[in-house]
Amino acid sequence: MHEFSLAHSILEIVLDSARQNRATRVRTVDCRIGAMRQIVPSYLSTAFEACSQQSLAEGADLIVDTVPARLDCQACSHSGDMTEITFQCPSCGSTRIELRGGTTMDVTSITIDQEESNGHRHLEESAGAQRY
Amino acid sequence: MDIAILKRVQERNDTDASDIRRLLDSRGIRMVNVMGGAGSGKTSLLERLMLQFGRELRCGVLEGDITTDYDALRIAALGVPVAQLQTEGSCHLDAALVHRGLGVLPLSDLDIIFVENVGNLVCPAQFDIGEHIRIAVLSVMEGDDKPAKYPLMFSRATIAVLSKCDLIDHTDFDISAASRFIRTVNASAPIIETGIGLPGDAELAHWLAGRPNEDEDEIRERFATTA
Ligand SMILES: Nc1nc2c(ncn2[C@@H]2O[C@H](COP(=O)(O)OP(=O)(O)OP(=O)(O)O)[C@@H](O)[C@H]2O)c(=O)[nH]1
Ligand SMILES: [Mg+2]
Ligand SMILES: [Zn+2]
Repeated sequence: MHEFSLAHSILEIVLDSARQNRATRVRTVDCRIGAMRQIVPSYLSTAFEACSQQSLAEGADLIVDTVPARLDCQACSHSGDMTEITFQCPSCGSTRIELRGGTTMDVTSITIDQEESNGHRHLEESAGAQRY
Repeated sequence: MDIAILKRVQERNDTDASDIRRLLDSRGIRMVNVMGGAGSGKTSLLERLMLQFGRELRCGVLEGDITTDYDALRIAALGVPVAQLQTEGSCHLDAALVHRGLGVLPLSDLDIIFVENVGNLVCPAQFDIGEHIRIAVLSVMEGDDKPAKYPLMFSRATIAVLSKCDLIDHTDFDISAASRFIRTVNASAPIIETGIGLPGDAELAHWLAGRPNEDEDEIRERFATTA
């Protein structure tokens, strides 16, 4: 459920930036979300799709990059990243572990089609052609 | 064309939350965000805390519920100032809604404000609502594995409360298992066992009355959004 309100916040950030950059359309939205957040990416995408309708971001792909939490094992002193939160050390199986971080939630970038500088609207046809 | 943004998704909510903390700090009020599953005993805990505090601390309550005002009525029956926050379907409180609720409370007459969040273990933990202290309530009826299944709430808690401990003999709840899961994600939160007739209520009241507020930096650290 909270995916809806997060999708809404993401949309606000995306639309702000899209307007500032004279976008005619948003094609992709990249986010980084910590594993500890337990956000279901497919729910978030569905929520984003729903709340972005009739906006510049309608139809944009939401791409979620999962940021791992940090694990320290007190039994085998293994340290590492954890993308799936479990309460066991992946190396020795001990439950004497500590988990930290993994709570990031950022919009990192968007890809847009932009108004041409002469003021004519222009839809980018071949993706990647105008990336800079 | 690629546009780099790098903005926190919750930036607006976090700004609202910081504004709330500034408002409360300027008035010497501390705010406690009470979170936990549906029916875990949040309102009951508040009712018992109100009795513990008596006249020692002047309490106010914000009750977050999806639609009803049953919990607010229970608190009002104790003569404690209370405002109802109806989330209208949303699974959590956010800082903007809490800010509106604060406008209804008689702030000049209060030392401490308890906010009962919407009953669920997942969503409320995602949002800073401008509180100084977060309590995560887990009842022994829900199972000792819940901190492992819903780690965010327990990782961000300032205090973990194991509630309904008076009923523990009727359950298979293992306090040491639950505590270990909580410790895995939270090195410092006291774990307090409460329940009808148990000393935990007094312990919790004592802890809440005596603790200095965390300042904004400490709270930001707890909410650290860079992994
Ligand atoms: N035996 C016992 N029962 C309790 C205790 N705390 C709460 N209960 C009972 O548990 C039920 C739910 O308690 P509430 O305080 O309404 O729980 P809540 O978390 O506020 O519920 P929601 O706001 O609906 O999510 C009620 O029937 C309470 O009487 C306790 O410490 N011991
Ligand atoms: Mg309640
Ligand atoms: Zn290990």
